[in-house]
Amino acid sequence: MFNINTTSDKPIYEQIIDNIKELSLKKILRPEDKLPSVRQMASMLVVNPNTVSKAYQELERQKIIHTVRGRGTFISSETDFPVDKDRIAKALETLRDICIELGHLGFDREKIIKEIERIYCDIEKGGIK
Amino acid sequence: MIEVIGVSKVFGDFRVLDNIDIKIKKGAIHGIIGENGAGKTTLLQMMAGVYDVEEGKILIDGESVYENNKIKNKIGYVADRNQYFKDYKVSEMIDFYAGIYDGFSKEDFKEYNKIFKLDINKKIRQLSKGMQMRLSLMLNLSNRPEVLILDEPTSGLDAIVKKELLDILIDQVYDRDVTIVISSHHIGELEKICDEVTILNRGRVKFGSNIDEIKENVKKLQVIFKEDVKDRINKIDGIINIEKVGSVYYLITDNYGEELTTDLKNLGAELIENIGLTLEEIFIYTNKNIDRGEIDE
Repeated sequence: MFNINTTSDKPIYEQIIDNIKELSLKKILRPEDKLPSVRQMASMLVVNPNTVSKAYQELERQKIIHTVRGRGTFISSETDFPVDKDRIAKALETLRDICIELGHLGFDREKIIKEIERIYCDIEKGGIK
Repeated sequence: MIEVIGVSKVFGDFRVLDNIDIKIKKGAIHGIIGENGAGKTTLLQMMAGVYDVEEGKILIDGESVYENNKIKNKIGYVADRNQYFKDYKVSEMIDFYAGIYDGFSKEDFKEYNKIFKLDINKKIRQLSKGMQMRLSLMLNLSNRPEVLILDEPTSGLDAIVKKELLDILIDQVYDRDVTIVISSHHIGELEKICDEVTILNRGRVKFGSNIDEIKENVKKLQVIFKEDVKDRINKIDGIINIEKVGSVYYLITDNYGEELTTDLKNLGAELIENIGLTLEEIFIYTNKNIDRGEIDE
């Protein structure tokens, strides 16, 4: 499914969250697909089940997954995503910081936009059409 | 919950442990890391009640462990060396454990033995090192402990059994909220499965917190300066290792933050990039005695 990068200073539970988000954006995980249970996921990644649990709770809070009692955890359908204004604001701020940082590193506006397009190509190529 | 409060241990005139404080909450997997002779085994033995605590306190669920049968009944302790009676058969060892521990389940042992595959008619002396480790793990898991103390449990195990063991530990935490304390030289193995680690250095706690917090502070940076800063870079606080490849400096800091980046920028840093560290590298760098006058090139 995905691997945990131990070199990264991104906490493991955040890596799990981001990987699941990415897989769902790439449509590798589709709405109503069943996710592995906490125990299965912990065993697959060889991480503490508490860490997986924490990631699932956060994903659930962000309405990206939902749990059906007795049946398991599923990817939510996109229409279920309510717009979370805080998260959008936070993401846009990160984007702004990145633009400034890239500007300092010699990227002009056009080059940044090109990069973003390249990233989108990558994401779409990685997914199943 | 395990509390280690101000614990010291002296053998002869050698201070093995010096004022150790650790708190481990229920259901956590806590890794103990340290170089050879750092005091890991002594600390684990004291948690398991092998030695009396002369200075400080070790409490499990609020009670001291030493000579306390009620608490010891809840502890599974897997030593780094096998300490069983060499002439006993495995089956006799099972009976022995069942006689001592209230919670011991022969059914559980049978289940675990489907994974670990020991011939219970063999004598302990006929078992290899890895097989003895398997036996010790199975006996202690079959106690259904609330606290599992494992000293180098993966040493001597092959890769397949090692993965099985990690899965069992995951199940123990998930199903029964067992608290696990585990020491290992294979830091890579611990990094992912542990919530928290304690890094011991010469009997003292060097770092003790969750891995994410340690990684907030200790970072490896790739820095490019406008001009050569060989003479001046040593004067910056918080840098514990400096390496130079071509014109690029690789710095390890144990105190990452705004202050450090400002200092580096003042020195003329054009690019500061965080390139990430594994726990193993953190362990190596923070335990090295660094001579800051020298730059490795």
